[in-house]
Amino acid sequence: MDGILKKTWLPVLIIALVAIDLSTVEEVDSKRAQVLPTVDKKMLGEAQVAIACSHCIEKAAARDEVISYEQVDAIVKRAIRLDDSARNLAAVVEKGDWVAIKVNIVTAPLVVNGRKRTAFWDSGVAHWGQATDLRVVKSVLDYLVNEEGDARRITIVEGGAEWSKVGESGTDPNQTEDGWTVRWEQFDNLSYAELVESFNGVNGIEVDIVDLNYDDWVGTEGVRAGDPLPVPDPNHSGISWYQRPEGYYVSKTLLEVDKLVNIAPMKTHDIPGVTLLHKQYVGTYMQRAYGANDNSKMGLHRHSGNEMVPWGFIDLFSFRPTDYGIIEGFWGTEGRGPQWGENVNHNVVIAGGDPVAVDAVGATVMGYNPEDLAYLRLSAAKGFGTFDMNHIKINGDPIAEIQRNFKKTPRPNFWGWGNRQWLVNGPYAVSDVDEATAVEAEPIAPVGGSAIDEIVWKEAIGTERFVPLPDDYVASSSATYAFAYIKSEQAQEGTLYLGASDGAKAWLNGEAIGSWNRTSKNPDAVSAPVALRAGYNPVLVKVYNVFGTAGLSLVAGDEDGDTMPGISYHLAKPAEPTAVEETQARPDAFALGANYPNPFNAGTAIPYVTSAPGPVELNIYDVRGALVRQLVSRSLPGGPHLTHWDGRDEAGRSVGSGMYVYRLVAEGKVETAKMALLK
Amino acid sequence: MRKRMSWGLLALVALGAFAWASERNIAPDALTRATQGYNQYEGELNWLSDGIYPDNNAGASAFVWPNKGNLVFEFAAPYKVLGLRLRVGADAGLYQVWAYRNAEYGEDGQTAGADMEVLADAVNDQFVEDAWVDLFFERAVETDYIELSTSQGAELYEVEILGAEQTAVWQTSWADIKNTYGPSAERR
Repeated sequence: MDGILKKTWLPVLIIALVAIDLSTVEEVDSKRAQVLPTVDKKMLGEAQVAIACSHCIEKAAARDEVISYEQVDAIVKRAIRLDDSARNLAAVVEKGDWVAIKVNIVTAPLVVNGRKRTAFWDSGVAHWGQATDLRVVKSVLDYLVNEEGDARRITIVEGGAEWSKVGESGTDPNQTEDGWTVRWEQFDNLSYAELVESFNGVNGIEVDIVDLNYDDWVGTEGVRAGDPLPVPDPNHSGISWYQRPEGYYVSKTLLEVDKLVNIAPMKTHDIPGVTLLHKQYVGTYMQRAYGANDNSKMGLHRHSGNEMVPWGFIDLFSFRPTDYGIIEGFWGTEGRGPQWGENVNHNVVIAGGDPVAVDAVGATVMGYNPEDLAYLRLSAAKGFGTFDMNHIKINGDPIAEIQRNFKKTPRPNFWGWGNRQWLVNGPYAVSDVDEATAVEAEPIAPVGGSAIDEIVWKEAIGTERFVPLPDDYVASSSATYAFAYIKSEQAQEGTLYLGASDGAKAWLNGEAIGSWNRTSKNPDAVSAPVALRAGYNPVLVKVYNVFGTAGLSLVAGDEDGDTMPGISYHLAKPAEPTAVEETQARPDAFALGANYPNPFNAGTAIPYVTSAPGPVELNIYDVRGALVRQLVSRSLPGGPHLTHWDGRDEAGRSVGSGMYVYRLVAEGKVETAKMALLK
Repeated sequence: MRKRMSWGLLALVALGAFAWASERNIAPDALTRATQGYNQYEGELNWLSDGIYPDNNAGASAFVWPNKGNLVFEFAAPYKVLGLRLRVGADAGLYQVWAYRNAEYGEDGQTAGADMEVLADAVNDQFVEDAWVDLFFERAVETDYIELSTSQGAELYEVEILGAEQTAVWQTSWADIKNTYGPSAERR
């Protein structure tokens, strides 16, 4: 019997481990769409964004007045010319390129049979701020056709959600105009059809329109054939899809064009916060390819709910990323965007070759904190750019001079990002939230793994703003403590917004700031005014649980619930400046970043920074120290780098599940970190 | 051979007649909701299944979407459904319907469901005015969740969901009771 056991335990153990492995992978896979990748901001690099406004042109005007085409044209051209980066518009568009200009015509001022047909007219108001201003499109066309001149063909592309094209199946036979042919009164009475007619053929450049709702879609077996195309990972970040593992059908035109110039209005939106460059990729969703007979983009919503729409449009962004982005505020929307908001005239143009940075600046100009925009984190994690305002150089008019706080969409649709990682300790039996426990007996600054009365402080990490407390740290009629540091780049006043199930008491910098016997999961269930010190501010939240599960959310926010400027959340406070902090202060210093995703199976990306040109070695080792793969062994310029590992060894064989070490050697320094491969 | 075909034809006709005869409007049994978020409507949801429309009452009230919208009909248990009939008004629109399995009306006012599956769909793009619009599935499907989408305008006086009876003894449904004894019956 002993012999049998000895013979059988090893294979049983292996099978068990494989089963655990497989279940873990399945779990990771099924939750993948819900998990936000960690973005190591210092690895995102630098960007340049140009800003021009109506103050700085020859025929200057107030920022909030309706201005002429000549003035719009002067502002657009100024922004384009202010951009002297390597990714400016003239550099992006190369000789012989086929350039797509993506515009926003989500809705259009259509009247059919005397009825105002689209949501453009919601509540009886003309919502000019929902769509791209055609004057800006005209100005960009003029620049590309008459000044830059490198393009071979320029195609204006959009797939409007609110309207159908005249003559197509599913279009009301009484409809005589559509988004392409209708004249837009406030946009100099221009129409897209007329624009194309006036520019087509000038300087030998073909100019045309492709309606993405009716374009040929491409599947795995070619045009109008096969399964959806898998979401690409053009920057080898290790991340492909966010919303759909099965992928998407994609416009043939978008797959074929050489460059994409994206022109977006400034618009508030209840789901992602703002509609700028990224959000308007919803217009590239080819609903008809999936069998629908209309152009609404409900498939993106219906697939996994409204909250996951940004995950979907970043997937779509990945198929044909923006090469150059222009945001314009000549007619924008504030308040109940996208449909029911109020028109705004904000004569500002923001332009640049890093679409994440352009959207981050656009959001900041509108009074939003880019740190709160989930889709910018998703896009940055895929290597499309940086949303770190500390690393975005502004050319032209400073943000402070042209900022206008757009009215937000009504709560609670959009809210500050909040702290999603806590050290927690509990449960302690209490009869109400004010009954003190041993935790409150003295000032605390816990570290993970330390204990009070043998109860260990452990990490609770949430994928959403409301972080559930671990089941074993929760009981009925009990308190569980959650601790973190709020780091503020400057001393500032604001509000701590707290949601907790079922009651809460909070301390900041050792001082009690409020006690609430009954709260809710809403992010602004309760709040307290606070004064944050520059540096690390310890925050302790006592979550009182009556019964069932418990959890909490916390946002250090302004009066709108947006995260205050310069805020980050941390589990630990460094005793003295560390290498990591020095790196944050000097983004060009030598550093090895955290690989993402981690754990991984198909592949992972390793970000690192070198401060000067020189030889670099980046190798993968197994836990015994044996070399698995040499990823980099050559001289590199100084700056941020990203290297992808596909989980294969030097011989091209897939390596097994387990922990691996990656080691960076450069500038006479060595840094190592660990990663987990799951198969 | 010909005789066998004739019997077969007769059987088909009989089956068709039975199917026709056994259709029953189960719309009043449904929990009817309008999806939220990007569509505003005018009127009352209960007008859609009150049995009152211009053909039987000149004072019938229309449920109106100025541009687009989705209606959701959720049943307590699955029904075998043949399709929908809509009594539309003067504002012609495009109508699509889907029958789901495992769908739910999400917290955000949209149809959702991790394992949601479309069992059948139908479309009508004839843009007819002041008429009944038929939206029949290719075959009857057993469903507890139906979504009707309209775009390019809609005036709906009545939505009938045609259930195919599956038993010899009909259950008395809320629809029957409401149509026979409810306030709308009095108004007729």
